[in-house]
Amino acid sequence: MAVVSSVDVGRNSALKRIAASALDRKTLFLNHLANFAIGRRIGVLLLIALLSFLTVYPLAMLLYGSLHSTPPGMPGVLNLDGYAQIFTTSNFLVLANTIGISFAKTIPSILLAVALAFILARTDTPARGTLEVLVTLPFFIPPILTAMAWGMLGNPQVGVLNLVWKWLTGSTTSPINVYSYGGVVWHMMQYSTPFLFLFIVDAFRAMDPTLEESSRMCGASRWHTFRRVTLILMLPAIVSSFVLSLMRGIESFESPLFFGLPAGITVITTEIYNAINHRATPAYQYATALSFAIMAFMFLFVVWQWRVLHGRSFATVTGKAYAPNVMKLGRWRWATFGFCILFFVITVVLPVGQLLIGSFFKFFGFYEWDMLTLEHYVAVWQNKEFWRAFSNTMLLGVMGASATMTLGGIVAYVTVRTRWRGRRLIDVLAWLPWMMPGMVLGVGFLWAFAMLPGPIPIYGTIWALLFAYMALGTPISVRVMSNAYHQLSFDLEECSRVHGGSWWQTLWRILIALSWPSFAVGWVLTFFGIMRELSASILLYSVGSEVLSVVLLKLWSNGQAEQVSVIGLLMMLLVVFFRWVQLKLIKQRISTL
Amino acid sequence: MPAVLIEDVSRHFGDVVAVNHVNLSIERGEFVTLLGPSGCGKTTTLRMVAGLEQNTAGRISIGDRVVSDAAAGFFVPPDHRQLGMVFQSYAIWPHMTVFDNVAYPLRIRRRPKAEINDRVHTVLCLVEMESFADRPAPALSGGQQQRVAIARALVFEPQVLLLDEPLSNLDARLRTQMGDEFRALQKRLGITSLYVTHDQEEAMALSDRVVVMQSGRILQVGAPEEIYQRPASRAVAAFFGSPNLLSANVTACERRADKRFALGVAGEDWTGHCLAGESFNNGEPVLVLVRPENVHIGKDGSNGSPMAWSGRIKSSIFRGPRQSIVVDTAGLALNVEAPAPLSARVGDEVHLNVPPLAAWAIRPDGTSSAHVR
Repeated sequence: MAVVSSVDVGRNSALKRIAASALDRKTLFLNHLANFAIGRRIGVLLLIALLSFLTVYPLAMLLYGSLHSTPPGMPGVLNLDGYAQIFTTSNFLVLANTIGISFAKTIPSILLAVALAFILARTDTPARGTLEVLVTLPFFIPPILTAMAWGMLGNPQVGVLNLVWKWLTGSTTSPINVYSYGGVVWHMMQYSTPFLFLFIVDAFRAMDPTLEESSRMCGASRWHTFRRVTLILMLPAIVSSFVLSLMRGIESFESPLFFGLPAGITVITTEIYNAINHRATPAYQYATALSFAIMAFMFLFVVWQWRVLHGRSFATVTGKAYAPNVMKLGRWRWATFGFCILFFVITVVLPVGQLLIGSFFKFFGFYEWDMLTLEHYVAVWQNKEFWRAFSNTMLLGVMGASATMTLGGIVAYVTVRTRWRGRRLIDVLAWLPWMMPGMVLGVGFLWAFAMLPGPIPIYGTIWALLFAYMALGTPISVRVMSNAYHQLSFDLEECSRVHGGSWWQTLWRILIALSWPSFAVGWVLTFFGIMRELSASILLYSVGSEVLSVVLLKLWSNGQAEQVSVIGLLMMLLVVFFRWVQLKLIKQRISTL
Repeated sequence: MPAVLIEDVSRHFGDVVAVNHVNLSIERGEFVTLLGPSGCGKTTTLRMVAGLEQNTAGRISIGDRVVSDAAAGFFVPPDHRQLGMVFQSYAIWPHMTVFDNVAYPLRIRRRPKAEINDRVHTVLCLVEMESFADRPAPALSGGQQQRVAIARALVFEPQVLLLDEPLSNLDARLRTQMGDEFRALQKRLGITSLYVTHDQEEAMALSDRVVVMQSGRILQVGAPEEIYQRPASRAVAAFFGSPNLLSANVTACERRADKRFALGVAGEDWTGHCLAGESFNNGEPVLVLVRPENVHIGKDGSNGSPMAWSGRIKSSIFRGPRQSIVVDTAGLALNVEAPAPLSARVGDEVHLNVPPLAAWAIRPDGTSSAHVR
C-alpha cells in the first residue's frame, strides 16, 4: 500500500509531469473545449435572448401598447385611457359571460372525461384501445372545422338535425339553435372533454394497483375504495386539469366567434377581436389594455393552480408500467362500449359527415338528388388563395414544428439535464406563453413587430406568424421533451462519456437517439397546434401570408359554406394521417423503451 | 508505477464534504474495493477517478498521466481518460443491440470495421454472450445486461476498469455466481479494477485489497483477511458481522517475531491472551475483538483455554449451515456462530471458550462505548 505521505513532493512531481508531457497539454486544450466555459455561456445567453424575444418582448410591448394612445407605428402619447375604457358595465357582462361559459363547459366536460377515463383505463369494455383512439380524435381536429360543421348541423333554419327532427315528428319548429349560449358551451365541450381525458387517463392508468388492493385488504368495499383511495389519489390530476380547462375556456376563440357573436354573446377574446377588426377605427389601445388585463387575470388562475397543487402531487405516477385492476362489468360492458361510440359519433362522425354532405351539394341546406355536384371541389382546386394558404400552412407547420421542438429540446436539456447558471430563468421564460391566450399574444406581437427598428420587416410576413406559433408552442414542446429526458437515467449519458464519447457525441448518439420518438410525437402535436391556430393568425396575417384557418373564416363569412366543407375535409384527412403516424410512433418506439 | 494514484483528494458539495483527504494507490492488475455504508464517499471517489465528478482538492493520476489536479485547475474530461466502467444500473443503451452497445467505445474511436467485429466477438465470448449479439438491449435479463456492461467496459482494453456496485441489482444466487465469474476473468486478463460496494462479503470474496471508508475518510486499507481478522479500529471491526468487543485491561505486552504484539488481558471476570498491531502499556484499557465463529460452544467445561465463560443460551437462530446464538454469561452477552445443528436449546447451560490467539485487541476510541453490558 502506497499512501503518499507528503503532498508537496507529490505536487512538484505532478507539475513536472504536466510540463514534460505534450499529450497533457493537448488534453488541457481539449479540456477547455469540452468544458466550453465560454461557448456554453454564449449559448445560454443566445437562448435567453431568443426566448426573451418570443415571450418577454411581446409582453412588454403589450404593456406599452396599452398605454399608447394611437395604433402601433403612429406617433401618440402615453395615457391610461385604455384602462379607463375597460371598466364599463358591458365589459362586466363580457367578463361574466367568459367565466360563466368556461365554468359551464368545464364541469360537464370533467365529469364526462372522468367517466371515459375510468371506462377505458379500468374496466373490461371491449376494444378499449380502438375506443381510446376514437374518443381522443376530436382533440386533434381544428376547432374551426367542427365549429363550421356544427354551424351547418344546428342551423335553426336549414340545419340537418332540425330537418331530421321536423321530418321525424312532423312539427314545424326547430328545437336546436347553435347560435346561443348552449351552442357555445356545446362546442367547447367537444374539445375540452378529450383534452381532459388525455390528462386524466394516464393518472388512472399509472396508478399502483397495490394501493387499492391494500385498501380492499383492510376491509373496505369496492365503492369505499374508489371513493377514499382511487378518487383521492386522482384528485391532483383532476383538479389541475380542471383549472387548466377553465383557462383554456377563457382563452377560447372559435366557439364564441362562431356561435356567440351572431347571437350577441361576447366574451373577452371576441371583444378584443371586434375592437381591432370590426370597428370603423380599430381601437388598439382599448384592445391592448383589455389583453393585458386578461393576462393579469390568467396569472391569478396560474397562482391558484400552483396553490391547489402545492404539496399535493401524490406520486402515483412512478414511470413504472403497472397493470391496473380491471373491473369486470359483465353485460354492462356493452353499455360502456356504446357510450364511448356515442361520444365519437357526436363529436366526429356528425360534423365530418356534415362536411362530406355539404361538399357534394350545390347549396348548403338544399339536399336533393339533382343538387349533387363536384363543382365545389373544382372551385377549391382553382382557388389561388386556397393554394397559397395551403402552402403557407404546410410551410409554417413544418418550419414551426421543427423550430419549436428544437427550441423545446434545448430548453428542456438545459433545465433538466444540466446545472448551468441561468437555467431557471430559461425555464420561466419558456413557460410564460402558458398564460397568454393566442389572442393576447397576437396583440402583443402586433405591437412587438411594429416597434421593431426599421430594417427588420417582420410584420406582414410569414415570419410574424412563425414567431407567434413558436411562442405559443414552446411551453408544450418543453414539457414533452423534459418528460422524455426525465425517463433517461443519467447513467446512460455518463456511461458514454467514460467510454470515450465526447459531449457532442453523447448528445447525438445517446440522448437524441433515445428521445427522438418523443421529439416526433411532440412535433406532430405542435404541427396540429399550428394548423388549428386561428386567434393569433387572424391578427397577424396579411395578404400573401394567409393560413388555412384564416381562409376558412373568410370563406365562411362570405357565405361559401360549400367550399369550406371541401377544405375542411382536406384538413380532416391531414389530421387523421398525422394522428395515425403519431400513434404508430408512440406504439412502436416509446412503449419499447 | 501505480495504475491509479489518488493523492489527498477531497470533494465538497457546498458545505458538505463527501470525500475528505483520501490517499490511495492501486497497482497494475490489482483488484481494489472501496467498501462502506451508503454516503461514505466511495461512489464519489470512483466518479472522481472516472472524471464524472471533479475533485475540489488533491490530484488523481491514471498510469503515468495526471488526469485531475485541483490546485493547478487541471481536469481531463471522462472521454479522454481511457477507462472502462460498469454502472450500477448497467446503463445499457436501450436503442441499440448488444453488439452496438459493446462496439460503441470502438466506434467512437473510429476503429476499422473488421477490428470492431473481431474485438466485439472476442469480448462477447469472454462473457459468454456471443449468441446474443443481435438481441435488442431491452430484451435482456439483469444478469445478461450485466455481462454486456462488462463486455462493453473491457472491449477497448482500458487502463483501469471501474465498477459501481455492479452486482447490487441481481438476486442473491446470481450475485455470487457473477461475482466469482468476474473475479476469474479479471485475474485472467490482469486488468486493474476499482470496485465499489457496500456488501462486505462481496468485497472480501473478490478483492486483493479492501479500502474501508466512512464519512468520506479511509479507515483502513488491507487484504480482506487482514481487514477482517486484524481491524485497526472499532469502526472497521464493527463493519463486518456482529463481533464481540470486550472491554479489558492489558496485563502484559510482548513483541513477537511477526511485528505483532502478544497481550495478556483481564476483563471483569475473565482473563486471556490476544494479539495486537501496536504496543500497549500495562493497565491500559483495550477492546478485545472476538469473532462469533471463533467462540467454541459446548456442554462440557474448559479445554484449557483461559478465555472461557459459562452461561445460558438466550436466543438461537437457525441459518442453515450454521446457527447464530446469543449466550448470557454473568456480565456479557456473547454472539456465537456455531455449526448447525446444535443440540443445545434456549435456556440450556453452555460453556464457551476462545482458542488462544484467536482474539485481537484494538484501542477503544473515546467516543463510543463497548458492546458489553
